[in-house]
Amino acid sequence: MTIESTKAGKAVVVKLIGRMDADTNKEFEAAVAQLVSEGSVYLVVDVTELLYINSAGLGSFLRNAKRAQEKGGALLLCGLKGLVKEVFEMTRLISVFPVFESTDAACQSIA
Amino acid sequence: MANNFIQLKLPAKIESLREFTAFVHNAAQEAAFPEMDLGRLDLVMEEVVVNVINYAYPDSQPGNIEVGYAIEGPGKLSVQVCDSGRAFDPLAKDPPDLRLGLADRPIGGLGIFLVKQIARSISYNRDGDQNILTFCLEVEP
Repeated sequence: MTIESTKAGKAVVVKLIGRMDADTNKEFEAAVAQLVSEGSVYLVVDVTELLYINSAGLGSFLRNAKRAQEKGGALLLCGLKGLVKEVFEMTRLISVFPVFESTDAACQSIA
Repeated sequence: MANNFIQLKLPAKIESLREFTAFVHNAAQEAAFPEMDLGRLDLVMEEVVVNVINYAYPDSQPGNIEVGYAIEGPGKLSVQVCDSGRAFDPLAKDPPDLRLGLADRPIGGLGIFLVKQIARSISYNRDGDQNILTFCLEVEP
C-alpha cells in the first residue's frame, strides 16, 4: 500500500493506494500518528484507490480517528466504493465517520 | 477434511497466509468469480486463517493448518479450514454492537462478523482433536 499525504488548508489529505491488510495497516497508523503529533488533527482519508481492507485495517481507521478526536480533530472519509465501501457499510462504520464524495467537499466542511 | 476437497497443509504461521489465500483465490478464478467476489473471498480467508494462526496453538506447541476447497459449480466454492489446536468455535462469539459511536467502539471484533456477513453458509464442527470451519461462497446471479 502506498500512502500520500498532502496539506490542504486546515486539513491533510491522506491518500491510500493499494491493499490494506494485516501487514500494511501498521503503516497507516504510523503515518497518522506522525501527522497528529505534528499538529495535523484534521485528516481527510481518500480511499478512492484503496482496493481492499480487512478487519485489521478497519481497526486502524478506528484507532486513527480516536487519536485525531482526542486532539480536537477528526478523521473524514472520502471516495468509498467497491469492496471497501461494502465493508464499511456491513460494519456500519460508514455512520461512525463523516463521509464525503470528494476530498474537496471533505476539506470545505472543516474550512 | 472432506474427501472431495483439494487440500493444502502448511504451518500455522503468518508466513503461510499468502499461500493459503492464493490457493483458494486461484480456485475461485477457475470457478469464474468476478473481481468483487474474489476480494470478498480474500477477506474471508484472511480473517479465518489469521484467527487460527493467532488462537489455535500455544507458542510452545506449533501446529499446522489444512485448507481445502471444492468447486461446487460456476460461482460456487466450498472451503474448509482445519486445525488440531485447542477447541475453539469462532462463530459462538457475541456479535459486535454496531450502534456504538466512535468513542465507544472497540478496535477489534469485526473479523468473524464480516466472515458471517459474506459467506452464504458457515458452520463449525469439532471432530476428534480437530476444529473444522466450513464455509461456502456463492456469486450472486
